[in-house]
Amino acid sequence: MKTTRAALLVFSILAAVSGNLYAQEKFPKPSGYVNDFVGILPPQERVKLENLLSELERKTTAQVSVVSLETTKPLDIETYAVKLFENWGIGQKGKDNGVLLLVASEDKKVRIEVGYGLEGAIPDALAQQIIAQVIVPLFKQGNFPQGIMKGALGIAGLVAKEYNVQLAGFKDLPQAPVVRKSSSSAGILRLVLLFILIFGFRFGFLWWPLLFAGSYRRRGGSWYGSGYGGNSGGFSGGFGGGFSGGGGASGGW
Amino acid sequence: MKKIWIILIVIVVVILGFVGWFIKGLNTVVLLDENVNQSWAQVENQLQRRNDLIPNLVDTVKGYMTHEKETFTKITELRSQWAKAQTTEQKITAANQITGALSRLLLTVENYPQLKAGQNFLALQSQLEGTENRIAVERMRYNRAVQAFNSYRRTVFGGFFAGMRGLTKPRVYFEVEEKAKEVPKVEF
Repeated sequence: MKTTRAALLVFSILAAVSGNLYAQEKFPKPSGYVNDFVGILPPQERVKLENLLSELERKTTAQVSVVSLETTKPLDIETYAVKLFENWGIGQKGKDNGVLLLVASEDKKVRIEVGYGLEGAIPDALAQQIIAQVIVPLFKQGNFPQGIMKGALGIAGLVAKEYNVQLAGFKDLPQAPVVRKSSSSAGILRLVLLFILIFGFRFGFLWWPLLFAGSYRRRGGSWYGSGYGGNSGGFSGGFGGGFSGGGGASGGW
Repeated sequence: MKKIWIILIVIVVVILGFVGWFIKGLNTVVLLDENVNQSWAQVENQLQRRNDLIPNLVDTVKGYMTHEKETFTKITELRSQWAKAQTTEQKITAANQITGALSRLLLTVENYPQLKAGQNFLALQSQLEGTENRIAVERMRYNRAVQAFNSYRRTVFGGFFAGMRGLTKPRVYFEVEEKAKEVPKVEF
């Protein structure tokens, strides 16, 4: 009896010690794909975005999360984004196909953190483009809801393209995101071409779906165009356990 | 008779429990060690990615920065030093030196407005920034893995298990040199 009690004591001390060792920063709990802790988005917009991201996961297994906070201090936004990503485990385990759009309203900082598995679909340069050309200009005008919506749609569009699927949720949304539209995206395609030339195919052939966006989407349409209407799926209490490794881009306004 | 059976069963259970605990301890130390190796591989990946960017950077910058020949030679030297480095310690030292040299180079770019505005340079700069951020993340994860291994080694039985598996040395943390964090002086 004595020895078991002693052993128990040792084990509980060990457990307490190791618990302390791995104690980390506290992070809020996610309540869905959209975690608007600051309350920037109007309820209808939030629901639309939530539905779109839920549809995205259903069709691609990729998880995109949108988070707004007041501040990431004492950490900088890059470090906070990686740690929050890891803490929530955005994206599927093993596939690491998650993306986090993080807005820190008081710090006036925004970051797109891309999971390992989507670094080909959303290279840093494209993430930078979404921030600099879509989100930041709208934020500067004070139009935060639109900035977040369009930024998130841009990300969702890139992910959908990577998996060659069409999202019905885009139809419910007032304006299509800049990055997704292929009719008016000649300029963006040119930029993408430029990046390819500059980077010398650094990112390999994952770029090609972007170039042939039109044909892929048409195919996607015939596969997925009619079926999905409502949203049976949804956020099921947590993300999948994915990781990110510092890929993506940051910006400020 | 009955008593003997009970005692025997108790002894067998205790032995089984002990063997299980022993195996688990031996496995834990190996898993933690392997985790450190894996995290280090990720760090090396990203450091390599940065080193691959260096020739491009030097080529882009060389034409403009005619007065910085020394810096270029230094960076090229450090790069080959990295390639030659064998141990983790040597690699960390080389990587930190490259970090310092690169940040110094990027600071002197401030003196060359034409270069700073160039498309090629901007693209390279953002790639470098992305890589530095990735290095920072993998470094954090590596250090965490090292911490888990080293602290297990220092627990009551951890050191014993580590010794049995021949993992007698603590792993090295990837510490950033204080010098690298300092803002280097720009001389005119």
